Amino acid sequence: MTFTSFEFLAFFGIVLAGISLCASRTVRNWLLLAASYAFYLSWSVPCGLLVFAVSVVDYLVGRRLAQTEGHSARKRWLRVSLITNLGLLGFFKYTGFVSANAGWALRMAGVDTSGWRFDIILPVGISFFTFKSMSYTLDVYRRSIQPCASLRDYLLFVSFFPQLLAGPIARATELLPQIARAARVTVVDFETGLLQFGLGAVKKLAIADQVAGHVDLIFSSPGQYDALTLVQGAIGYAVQIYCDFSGYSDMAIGTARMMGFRTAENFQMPYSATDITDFWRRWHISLSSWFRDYLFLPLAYAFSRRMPAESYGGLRADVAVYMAAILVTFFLCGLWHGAGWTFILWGLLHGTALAVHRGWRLWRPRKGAARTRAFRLGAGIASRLATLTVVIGGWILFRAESLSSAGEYLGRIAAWETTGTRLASPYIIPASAAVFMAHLLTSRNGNWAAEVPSQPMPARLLWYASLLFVIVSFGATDGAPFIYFQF
Amino acid sequence: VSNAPSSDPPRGRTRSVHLVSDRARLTLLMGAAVLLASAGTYLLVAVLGIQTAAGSSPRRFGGGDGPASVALAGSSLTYDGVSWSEVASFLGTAIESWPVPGSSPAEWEQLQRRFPQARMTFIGVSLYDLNEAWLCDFRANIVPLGRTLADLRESGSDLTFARRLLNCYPRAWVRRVFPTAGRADRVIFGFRDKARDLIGEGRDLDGTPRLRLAADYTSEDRIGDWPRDRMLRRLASMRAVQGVPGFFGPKHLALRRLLQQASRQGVVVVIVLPVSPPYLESLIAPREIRQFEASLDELRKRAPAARWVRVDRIPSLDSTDYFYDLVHLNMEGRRIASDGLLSALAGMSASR
Repeated sequence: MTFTSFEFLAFFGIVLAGISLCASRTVRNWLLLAASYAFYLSWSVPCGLLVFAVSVVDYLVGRRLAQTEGHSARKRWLRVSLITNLGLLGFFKYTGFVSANAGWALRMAGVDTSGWRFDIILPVGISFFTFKSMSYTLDVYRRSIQPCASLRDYLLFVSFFPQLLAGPIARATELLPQIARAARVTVVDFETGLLQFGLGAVKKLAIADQVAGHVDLIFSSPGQYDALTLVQGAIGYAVQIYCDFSGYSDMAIGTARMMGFRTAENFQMPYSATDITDFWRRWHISLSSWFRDYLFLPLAYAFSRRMPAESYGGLRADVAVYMAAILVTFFLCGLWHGAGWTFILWGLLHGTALAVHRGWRLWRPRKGAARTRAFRLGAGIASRLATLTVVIGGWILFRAESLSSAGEYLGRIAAWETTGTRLASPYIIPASAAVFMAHLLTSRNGNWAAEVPSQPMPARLLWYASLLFVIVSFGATDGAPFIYFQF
Repeated sequence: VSNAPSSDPPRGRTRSVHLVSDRARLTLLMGAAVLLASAGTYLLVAVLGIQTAAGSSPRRFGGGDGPASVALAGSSLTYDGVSWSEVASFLGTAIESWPVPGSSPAEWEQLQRRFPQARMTFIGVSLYDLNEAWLCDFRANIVPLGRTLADLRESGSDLTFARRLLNCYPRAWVRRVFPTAGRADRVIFGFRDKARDLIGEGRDLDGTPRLRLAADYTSEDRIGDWPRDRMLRRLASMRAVQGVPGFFGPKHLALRRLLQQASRQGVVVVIVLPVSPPYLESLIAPREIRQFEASLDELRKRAPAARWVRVDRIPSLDSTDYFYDLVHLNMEGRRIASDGLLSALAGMSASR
């Protein structure tokens, strides 16, 4: 059951009707919990047990952390949570990758591994619900929040159906108080949520799913196409993944809002980023902030304690710490996205770009001609273009079916191959133009879903009618699965 | 949804004096938006000439004004692939059918019930329209939901396919309000064709004819002449809509029933039509071809009285010179296929 299916619309209608009839918070939360598990079980029954097990372990760890004073004992309890979450994630997501690489290494050493076979089903959303649950125990460990008193509320926090399959990775500080509070759904909540859901549906059905066919075609055999077509395919994938995932996030946020829950935005016009650091403040915000708070900052702190304050090959210690921490963080960010070398390389590319950008910010010229308006304008344009080049080049690694395929794709573009088929996609070109124009022409920090409900009635009518018209006239019939479900 | 004020009411919305509640106002707004969008989609359908209904009027080939006793069931491949007027002349009687674009045995079975007087039935099948993953756009308008549910149960179809098939029904209800729902391709290509008409360029057939039905089509196009990019685009579009091919689902059951019913009424001739070599090579795996043949074998056993004409096995048709798109025979191909069918019919008459 996905957000764009008729089943979901029927399911959500029933849930909405149910919670609007519930006067008590207790009944409402039980209803939402039952709905969330029903939603997940529609994907997989055994994997539902996994969500339950993770939730119970982290709930109990949270309680124990609150009751334990000793530092080492608290650390032990935290380890229980981390080992449970990361162990499950590692087992389900990385066993195949590790065994394939180990098998390759053993074959190189002459060991016969032909009998090795690991068929492990990846539970949908495992990367999201484990990170969500882990952030709770980390926050309780840091004493940033009080442990959740109710197992039911905690189970609902982890399994809350709008966010269960592909985020946004809401923090306990954000969602648990809303679950505990008897929040009522206002007309404005409902209207804002509905609008955001509609915007997400337009992105997913009318853009992402429409360009998917031709993007798949180009990426399936890059050796057949000329460089211009390959660039078109890479831009098409940039548009597809943005509209697919931000569309999903909009629908998740909108669904939650229609039930009275507010969630932070997950995307903020990322292709309008002024630099690569800005890009990561705008792309998958809930994940990048998760990595920042729970991995990058602790790593930077740990490195800075171990690295003496001296120069490292001309780098200041704080810069060296930043670079080391950002590379490790993005290596793991790549690995989080997928168990494959293409994802690891994608992560390292972004880590390197962030490190280079950090260096540029420190050492960029600030005097003389660099203070002129023309220089600043030129540097701004160059920065945006460099950011887009890194991001779109990175998507080639992200989307490619293998390292060799990515190499071939990038190699043909780098050599500007003119041999091969030239394909002008009637889907990719207009969709890319629409998405990039929207990034250029609209406010980078605006939020249509929040702004439209305050507009005059005729403008709102036009908005809703237009959204509906676009969905029913240009929306793909059999929507493809959301890209981030595979993570 | 309560009327309680939001903690942060949006700017510009006054909350003091309202003749109707916010809730009623939102309901009215949404209702008006639905009406406006609905009017827009009806207008679009009219402007772009999108077909929204099918199977309501019969089509007749050859013969005089008297009642026809020969029925024809098939998709556009059947209508384009054979010169039915010539077949009617050969038989000396009219042939009647209810054409439905993109149709399959599931729809033909229902339409066949409108023609109980048929003493002879032609059924055109192919690897393309027996593929269970390819769904007719008008299925929900023709096949009752109960029939679909029973077939899904009997064929043991998996949940993903069952969901996809059953989604046709709510989509048909949505189409009463928004007739463009689920027809994005035709909207997009309709716009493109309109644009081409406006600038005076001729239309091409890259994409549009997927649900076209043109018994009187006279294209002499050859996919062998297509540039490579056009071929790749068409293969991508086809791949996107046809899914993973399968041949033992509800369509197979419907064809079995159709054969049995037609056999009880009289003579049945099943014509197996070819698809183009690029379609076979790029979109159909050898295992799927074996499955298709196994499904035909099973049908042969279930309806032993039916006569089979394998037009797809005429060697000369195995060429890109005889198709105007990935699955439809062009004029030259139609001539070869018609000759093949007519000589098979002559052979059947002689053997009787």
